Amino acid sequence: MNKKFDLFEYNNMLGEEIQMSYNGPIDAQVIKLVEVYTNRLLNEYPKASTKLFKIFIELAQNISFYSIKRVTNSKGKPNTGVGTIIIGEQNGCYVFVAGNYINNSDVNDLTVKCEKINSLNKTDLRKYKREQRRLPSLNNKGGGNIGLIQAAILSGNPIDMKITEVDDKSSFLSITITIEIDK
Amino acid sequence: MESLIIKGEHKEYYTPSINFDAHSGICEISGESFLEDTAEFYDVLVDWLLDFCKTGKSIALIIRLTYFNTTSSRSILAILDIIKDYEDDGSDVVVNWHCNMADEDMIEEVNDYEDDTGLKINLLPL
Repeated sequence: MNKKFDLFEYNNMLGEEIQMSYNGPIDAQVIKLVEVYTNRLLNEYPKASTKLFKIFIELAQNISFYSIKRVTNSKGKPNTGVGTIIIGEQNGCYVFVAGNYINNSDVNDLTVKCEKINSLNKTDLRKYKREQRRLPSLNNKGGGNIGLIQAAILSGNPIDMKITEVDDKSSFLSITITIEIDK
Repeated sequence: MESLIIKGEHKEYYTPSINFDAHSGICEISGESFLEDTAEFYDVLVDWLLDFCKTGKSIALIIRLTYFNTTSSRSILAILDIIKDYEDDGSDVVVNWHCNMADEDMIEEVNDYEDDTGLKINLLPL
């Protein structure tokens, strides 16, 4: 017998602070969904909601480039990266969480990069972004390789990164970004 | 050479509008830039600009982008580098960047491009 899915339990687990949650292929349809969501906030909180959308785009792109779980999406597009995203509101902040499975071989670079980002002030982050933008792209899609730095610059807060080892090949990466709503 | 005109779209992805006028040398990029294949899109612009630079005519780059992702930002840098090289070769260039003056994040982006390329970028309202 298959496991029964209890949506009530799932809802309780998410809690009232969660405004939106999604798990699946991160593709153009999901981007549209989040665009519609953040546009609704645009009148009341133009700065924070714009930052929220920009940060979402960067982290969504990271999932589509680097997630090791890949599927064919509903429109038949193969090799689409799968990930989990959550948008919540907590203590006057938007909280954006993006997660996906990664190769263990990527863990060290990511950890080092995140520690470096969190050690820099805004001026130095902008400098770091300019330096990284001058380096050749690390993937064949021309990725900026600066999405995480940009997320930190836009949010004005440290990146909260958690990596959980799943087995000897893969880990789960979870990145939380906090954006003050009055910003 | 012929002008390069691309009509922008705001659909699932965002294609900027391109109007590169081979006759006047006024080259405008406007709208939003977030593409499925960024390199493929901007390679066309880069090739056009490199061809234009062979003419020795003056060029005015006008940017009116309200949004671009970091992948696009890399391609925009490549375009600004071409303009800077053209200027260094003794050509007449102007770069005007129009943006919402309340958008501090965008103004910082423009300042960073100025720092990074050594080009004078005139910041103007949208």
